[in-house]
Amino acid sequence: MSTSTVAAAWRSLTGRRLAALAALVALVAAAFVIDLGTGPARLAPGEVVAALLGGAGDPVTEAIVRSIRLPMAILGLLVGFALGLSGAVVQTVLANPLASPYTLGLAGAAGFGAALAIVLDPPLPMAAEARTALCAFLFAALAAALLLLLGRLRDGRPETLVLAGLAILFLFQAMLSLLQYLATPEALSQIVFWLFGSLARANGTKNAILAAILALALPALMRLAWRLAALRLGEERAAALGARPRALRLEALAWVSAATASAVAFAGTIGFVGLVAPHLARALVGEDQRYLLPVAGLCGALFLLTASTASRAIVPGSILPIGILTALVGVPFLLGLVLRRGRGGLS
Amino acid sequence: MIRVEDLTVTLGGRPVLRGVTLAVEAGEIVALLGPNGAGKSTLLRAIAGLVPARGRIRLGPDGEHARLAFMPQESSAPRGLSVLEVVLLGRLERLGFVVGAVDLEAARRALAAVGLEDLAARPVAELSGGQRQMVYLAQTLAADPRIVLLDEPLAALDLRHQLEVAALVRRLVGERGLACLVVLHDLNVAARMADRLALLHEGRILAAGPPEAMLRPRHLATLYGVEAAFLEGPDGAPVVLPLRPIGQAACAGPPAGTAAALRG
Repeated sequence: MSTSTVAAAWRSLTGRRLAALAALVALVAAAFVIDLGTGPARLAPGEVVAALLGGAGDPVTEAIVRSIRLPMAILGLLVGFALGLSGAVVQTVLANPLASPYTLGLAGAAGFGAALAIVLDPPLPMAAEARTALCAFLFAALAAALLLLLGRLRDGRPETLVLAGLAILFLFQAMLSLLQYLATPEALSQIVFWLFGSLARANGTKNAILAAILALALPALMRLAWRLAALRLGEERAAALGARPRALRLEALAWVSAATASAVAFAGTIGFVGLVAPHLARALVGEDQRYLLPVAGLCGALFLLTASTASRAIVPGSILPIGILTALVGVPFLLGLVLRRGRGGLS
Repeated sequence: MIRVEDLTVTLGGRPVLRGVTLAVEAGEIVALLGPNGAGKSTLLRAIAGLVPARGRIRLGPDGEHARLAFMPQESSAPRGLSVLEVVLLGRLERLGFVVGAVDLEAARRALAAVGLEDLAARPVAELSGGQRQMVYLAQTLAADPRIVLLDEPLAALDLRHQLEVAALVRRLVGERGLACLVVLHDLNVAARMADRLALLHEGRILAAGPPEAMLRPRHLATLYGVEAAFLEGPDGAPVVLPLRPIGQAACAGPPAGTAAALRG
C-alpha cells in the first residue's frame, strides 16, 4: 500500500504539472497565430497558418504575415519568455515576490544606454537602430557586472543584491534624466518612445540573438532547478542541503542578466511581464522549478503576445506602445495579488 | 561517529568557538546545551562544513567520510511545494533532473519512518507545525545519513509533539545506529532524550557526560546563571526546576508545594 501511495502521489503531481505545461504551449501557439492575424488587414487563423506554411496562394497575405508581422510576433514571444523566466528566477533568488528582472537596475541601465546612443549619435558603422540596441545592451551588461561584483565582494545576500540593484537603478535614472534634460526635442521624443517599449523594432538578427541567448540560458537555469527549489526552503536550510546559496544566486543572476539585457535592448522597457508571469506560473505548477521556469517563460510569452494583439486591435489602424498595455493589465493583477496577500497570493 | 578536536571558529573577527573537543558515537545521542550565543548552532554548522573552522573534524571511522545530514532550525514553509518534493530535496546532492525510482523509494522510506506517507501529495504549507517538523525530519533522513545534526528540533512544538519527535529521534538513532548531535533548550527533555549532555559555554565545552552528572547546581550556575532545584523524576532521570537568576529574588517563584507535587 505504502509504495503505491507515494508513487501515486508523485505520478499525480507530475501529471498535473505536465498538463499545465502542455496547455500553456497550446495557448501560446494560439496567441501567436491570433497575433499574426491582427492588424490593418485582419486574417483568419487558417489564412495565417497557410501563409506560414507557404501554401497561401496569395502573395500579399504571405508578405504581410511573413515579412511584416512574423518578426514582431517572434520578438514578442522571445521577450515575453525571457522576462517571465527571468522574473521567476529573480523572485526565487531574492526571496521577494515583488521583485522583477528590472529590480536589479538592468532596465534603467539599458534605458540610459539607449538614450546615450540617441543623443550622441556615435559614428558606428551600423544602422542607428542597431546602435541604440547595442548601446542599451552594453550598459545593461555593465550594470549586471557591477551588481554581480558587489554581490561577490559583499555577502551576496538578497538584501545586499536588492539594495545594490536599487542604487544602480537610481544612478542610471538620474543620468537618463540629465540626458533628457540636455537632449534636443527630436532626440527627446525618440528617447521617450524607446522607453515605452515596442516590438516594432524586431528583425531577424535581433530575434536570432535573443533566441540564442535563451537557448543557452534556459538549459543552464534548468540545471539549477533543484537547488533553486531548495532555496525556497530558506537560506539556512538550502545551505544545509548543499545548495550553496551564494554561488547559486550569482550564477542564476548572471544568466538572468544576459536574458533581460538582450530583451530590454531589443524591445525597450516593457514592464510588469516579469513581475506578473511568475505569479501566474506559480499558481499553475507550484515551486518545482523544473516546471516553474519554463511555465513562467510561457506565461510571459502569452501575456506579451496578448498585449501585442490588443495594442493593435484597440485603436484600429494604429499601434499603441505595448509597454502601456502591459502596465494597464499588470496593475489590476498586482493589486489582486496584494489583496490576496496572506491567503497565498504573495508567499 | 563524529570526532571534533580543538575546533575554533571565528565569525566577523569574533571568536565563537574556542577549541571545542567532542565525540559522538554511532547509536548515541549527544545533546548540546548552553545559553543563547554560546555557539551551539555554529558548532553544528562547522561540523556540517558550512562555516570555515580550524581544528580537526572526523566523520565516520578511519578513512571514511560518513554521510551527514543537518537539520537547521529554520522552518519556513513555502507555498507550492508538496511534502514529497520537500523530502526529495533532502537528496539534493544526488537528485537528477528527472527523479529516479531510487530517489522516490528513499523518500518513501523516510516518510514511512515518520509516519507521514499518506500526506505525500499535500502542500507542506498546509500542515501543522508538528507535522511540518516531521516532514523536515524525513527530509533529513532521505539521504540515508549516518550522522545527523539537529538544531532545536523541538522548538515551537507543543508538548505532545515534543514528546513524539523526541521519541522518534530516539527510535531512529537506535534502529539505524546513527550518530546524533542535537541542540536542545529544555533540560528535562534533554535528560530523557540524550545519552550524554555536552555543556557549551562561551565557545568552550564546560563539561560532557551522562545527564545525572551534568545537571548539577554549579553547572547550571555557570551555564545559565540560574539557581535551580533538582529532583529525581519518576523515570529515574533528574528533573530540573529553575528557581531564579543568581543574585536576584525570584520574580515569581514556583507556588508552594510544587516540589512536593512533582515528587509525589
